[in-house]
Amino acid sequence: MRTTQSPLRTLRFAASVALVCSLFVTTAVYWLRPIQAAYGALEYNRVIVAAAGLIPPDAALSDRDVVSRFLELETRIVDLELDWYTDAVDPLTYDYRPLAATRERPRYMPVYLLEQLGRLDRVVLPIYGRGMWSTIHGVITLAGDLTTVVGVVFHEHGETPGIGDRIEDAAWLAQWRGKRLYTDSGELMFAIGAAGRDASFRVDGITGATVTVSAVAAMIDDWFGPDGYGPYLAALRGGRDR
Amino acid sequence: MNELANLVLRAMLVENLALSFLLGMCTYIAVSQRVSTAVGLGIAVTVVQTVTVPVNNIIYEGLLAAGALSWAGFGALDLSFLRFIIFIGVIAALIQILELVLEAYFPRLHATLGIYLPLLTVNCAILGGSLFMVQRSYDLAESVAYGFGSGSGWALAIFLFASIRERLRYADIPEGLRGHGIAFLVTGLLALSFVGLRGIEL
Amino acid sequence: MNARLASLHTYKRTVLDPIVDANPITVQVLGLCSALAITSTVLPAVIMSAAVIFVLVIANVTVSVLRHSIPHSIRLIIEVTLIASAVIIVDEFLKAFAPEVSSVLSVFVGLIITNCIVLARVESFAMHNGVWDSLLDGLGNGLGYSWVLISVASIRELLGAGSWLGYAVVPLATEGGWFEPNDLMLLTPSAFFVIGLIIWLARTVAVKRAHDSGRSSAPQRQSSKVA
Repeated sequence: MRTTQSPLRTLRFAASVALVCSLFVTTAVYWLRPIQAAYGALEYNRVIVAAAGLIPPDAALSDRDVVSRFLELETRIVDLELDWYTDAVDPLTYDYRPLAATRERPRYMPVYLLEQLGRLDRVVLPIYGRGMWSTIHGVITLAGDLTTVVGVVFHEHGETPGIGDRIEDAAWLAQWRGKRLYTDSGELMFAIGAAGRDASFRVDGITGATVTVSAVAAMIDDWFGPDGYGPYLAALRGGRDR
Repeated sequence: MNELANLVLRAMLVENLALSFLLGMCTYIAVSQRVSTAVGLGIAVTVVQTVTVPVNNIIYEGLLAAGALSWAGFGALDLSFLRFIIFIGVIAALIQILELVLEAYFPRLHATLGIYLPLLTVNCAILGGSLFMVQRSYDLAESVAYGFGSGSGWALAIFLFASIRERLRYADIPEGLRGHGIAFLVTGLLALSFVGLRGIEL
Repeated sequence: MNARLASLHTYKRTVLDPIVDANPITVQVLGLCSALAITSTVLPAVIMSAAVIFVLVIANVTVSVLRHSIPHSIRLIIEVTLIASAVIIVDEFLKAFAPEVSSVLSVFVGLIITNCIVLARVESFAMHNGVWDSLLDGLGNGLGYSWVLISVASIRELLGAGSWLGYAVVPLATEGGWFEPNDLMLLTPSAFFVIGLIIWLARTVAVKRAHDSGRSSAPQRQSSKVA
């Protein structure tokens, strides 16, 4: 298959191949990106709505239903440096997930508040951390006292099927219900494993999934400690007006 | 510093590219007949990996990632989908340079490695290392650590396997298992032993 | 009429040969990398197989169309560029239409670029054969790759979780049944064991068929050379 090849001919051929390939690839990406984004946001909103208890987790709701339930929640942006709400970023379009891929903690995180009868009933807080094979994304729902865990779900991860992905086990996640993150004095007490601790501040680990579970434990420490939501939750608990 | 050392250890032992992620198997099985060749290839892989992962990191963070081109005024662009082709190009170029260097200063090693050095261009482990670097968003220092750790981990795996394989020549292996069959079973046992290293930390 | 029958027969051989006799994974032992790391459940294996078949066919056809025009000096990088473009398109498609599986497959779809089978077929077949033959060759090799990959995944998922494609096949002990899943099957080393045993089986069958039909077989030659 040897062809007579002047350098110019070689260059022209290479350039044409590059051009045609980039056309194909860019067209595909351009056409597919909106679909990827739409799916990504929709599933996320469904997770938030389920976490807040507005729909059962596996309910097959139409996309419009998910969106309308989602609007029952109040989405606020918390500034993690100032440890309170901010209007600096638009809550409807802000997505922290691209920043989750970078090394630093994003300055702004969305939180979702549910009010019942004029009082704060649920707060849904997104968290994430680096697991064994992937970034683990989850949400924790706290009750109105801002320390009792109503539910937790790890909705996005790429951990080992059958081992690390047991952080999705309903049985394990059910253990979290009713546990408390903070002591009365506001100290972060919750841990995974920690055999000697008071039962209301701990859940069991998962045998065989050491790496993934330690990643989850690190997520709790990071996000509910002084660098994360800790000071914001303390202020909210102390009655600071929204 | 401790974190970087931990990263190297994790990449070498717990997340070994050959034994935990099964990358680079083609070359791994083909070049492990003699320990001397395996060691040479292992060194080549370590060097290539330690260079390509940081270089690809610079290119990715500087040109391809979402918002990377904001210094040129194109902050809205996300060219991350081009990483596959760019990384392969960079790897090919760097290996070509390495080949020239080897030919000039280490001719014997170059002769031993023969075809296997250019073949590293399409070695899954080399490309895989760069892709994992992107997936885990390592910064430059971590990329160097990860490149070195993952490369030397692969080298360690092929060295261990070659040592075992040299001794297997004297074993009475059933006909159907000879060659690739027993290679896989032995590598499986090797991989199993590495599973026991999970959770190691400094 | 006879010529047509003969060419049909050749086409059938081109597609079927790689699946049984010259199966890329057992005999030629190519494309192992992505074959094993994602085989703990069947679904990723199925999606990965579809991706590989797509890339193989597209790459083979494109290279075959261009085979008389590609300058020899840049042959390899042109092939890699064409393969990489196909892989990028597949990856983006999967991210859009099968996001959950795509996140499980993560980097392994990208690694199809360096998959030994794709490069080998493009270089050794598509560069020297017509478009239709190259298409069939890509299809055949892709199917050969697929059945081994899905077999390994099936064994691992059945023994490791008692299910297939996510559907429960045997009642698990944890849910009141009798089946105690083999946790080893969920760890990656088990993929090595499963594939080693499959190769043993395939080689033994191939040797037996060679003895029965009285011709020397490629697998036998290869195994005695490599051990």
